[in-house]
Amino acid sequence: MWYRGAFLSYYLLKRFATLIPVMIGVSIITFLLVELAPGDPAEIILAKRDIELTPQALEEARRLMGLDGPLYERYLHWLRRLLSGDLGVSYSSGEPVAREILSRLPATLELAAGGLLAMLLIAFPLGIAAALYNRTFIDHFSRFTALIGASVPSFYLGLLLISMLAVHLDWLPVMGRGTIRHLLLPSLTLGFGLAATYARLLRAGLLEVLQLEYVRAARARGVRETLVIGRHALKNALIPLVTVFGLSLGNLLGGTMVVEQVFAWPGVGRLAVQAIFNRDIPILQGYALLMAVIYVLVNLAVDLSYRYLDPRIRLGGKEVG
Amino acid sequence: MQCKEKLSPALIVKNLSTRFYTRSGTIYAVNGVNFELPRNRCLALIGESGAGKSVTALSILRMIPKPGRIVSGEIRMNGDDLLAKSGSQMRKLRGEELSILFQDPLAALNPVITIGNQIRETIQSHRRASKSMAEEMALVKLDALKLPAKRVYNSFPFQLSGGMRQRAALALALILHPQILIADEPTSFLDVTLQGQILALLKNELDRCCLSLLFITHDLAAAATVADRVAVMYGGIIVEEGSMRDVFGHPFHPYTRALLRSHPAFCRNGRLEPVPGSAPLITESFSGCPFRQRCSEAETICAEDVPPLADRGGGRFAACHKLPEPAKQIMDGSC
Repeated sequence: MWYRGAFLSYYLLKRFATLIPVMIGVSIITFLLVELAPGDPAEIILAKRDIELTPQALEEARRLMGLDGPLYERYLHWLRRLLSGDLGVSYSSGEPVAREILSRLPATLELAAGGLLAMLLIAFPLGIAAALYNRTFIDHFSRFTALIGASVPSFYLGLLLISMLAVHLDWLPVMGRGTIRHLLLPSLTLGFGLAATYARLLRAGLLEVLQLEYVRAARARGVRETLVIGRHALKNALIPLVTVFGLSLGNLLGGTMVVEQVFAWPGVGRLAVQAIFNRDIPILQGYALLMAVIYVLVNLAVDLSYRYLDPRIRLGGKEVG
Repeated sequence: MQCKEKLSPALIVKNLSTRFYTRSGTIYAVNGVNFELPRNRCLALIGESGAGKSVTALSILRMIPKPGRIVSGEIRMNGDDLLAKSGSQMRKLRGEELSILFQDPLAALNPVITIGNQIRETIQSHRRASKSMAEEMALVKLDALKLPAKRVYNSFPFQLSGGMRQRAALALALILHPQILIADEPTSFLDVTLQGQILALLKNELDRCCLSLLFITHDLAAAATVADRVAVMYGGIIVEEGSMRDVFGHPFHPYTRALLRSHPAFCRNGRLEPVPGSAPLITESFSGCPFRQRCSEAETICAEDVPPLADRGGGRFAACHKLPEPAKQIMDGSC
């Protein structure tokens, strides 16, 4: 067993090494945000602080913000500060960007977790039921629900849910963060849209696996149907789902941005939307960096989970006999 | 060995018909098949691909996939008609009393579950057994099939060689000591040396325990190795049945003769003669002998009536209009 552990840590090390160029690329693109954004950041910040726009003041501000000098020099300067944890200062609040983002991150993580949970709770029952009752009413109902989930934009679904469950029926709070009850509507809004894809994928995957010989063989051995579905079929049908999860993580992250806006959820997404309106470039840089890091790390986790799901990947496909 | 004395057949199949109602028409896969599987013996069901052998096997297990359906017949095991049993009764029977070994063990074993766990779930689906009891049972069975038990138990199918995989699949099929094992082309995916190994193991199991084997194959030599009796299938019916020695030594039916002449081990003077034409996919209710288009001896009567599987004496049956008048019909029930 020891070699398996050693192999895994070697693999992890290798995967982390490949992340370095990715992160360098991300940092360059993020840095260029400032360059590509219209308007002179020094002008913006002076205007925000009600300082008179004299050439001297501009010069001084550019120097302080590290905006003078050639591009690569500014990049290296910016990168050095980034590596020491300094993401700059928000133009609008004057607070450090790192602090602004970190203070709102728990709210976004809470929402994302709620959304994922809602997604799983919707997608799995729908997908499994649709596959088991293929071409019956249940299947059509499930596919229709999935179609609605996929085609209704989340801002509209959110408003619809607010109007129905919060305003008319008064069951749940309209907006804001606090209790579990506050979390329900935003999670449902976020999860429903995502669930559509997974329910359909799960249905297709299960239908395919249920045709396979080893499922027939398990049934021919009289293995209980719950085991046939829950173990033999599901475990194999999950593999493509996990892949898509890694790829569609962007939808989840983008989704939180919209949902946070609709429900006035005090998360990073809302901060980023406000930053867009305020031309608050350092906040946007921080947001982009954070999302890139999350994206890369989750995809690493996805790759690792294959190894759990499929022993052929874990053990390298070698024959022993 | 003493169990060989019981004489009632392990399985009686009467007038079994199975059809597939596909969108492009009905496929008549099995059309009134009759046979008895003698207790603790081996009956080989031989014939070309498409003859209806595997559909017969799946019909016995009641595992015909949609749009297929068993349209008529009786399948009696210990006096009970399997076709009258409920779904959950059939589930309990499968694996416990009636087992099947498929041809490709790599496809029949789940790639992401260890052999041990697949055996354990089979035991625990039928019996109350603790994890350690089930593991013990599994290790004993794997060991009996001459496998390195501990290692195979913890292996995934892809970690085993082809021969080991098929032996592991055999262990899985036999783990609960079923009365009947259906082996559906169990050697087709193996190379020759491994074929011999699996056949020897099957023969060994036949001798050792009270097992009745329905051996489905297109490989005449393999059939000759293990079978006591042989039933030759063509176009969804049985065209000839008898003891292995009789059928291979003196085939009655033109199809059996043609089949033997096309096999290197049985052909005359070392000259191979392939059966002309190809096996039919029967898409319409047919009249007459299904083999008549490929039969060199066919006459007008062959196109009119399906020849009945008639008793030719000495425990032999053949379905051909060209043979001398049969003594009596099989349905009279003496065999």
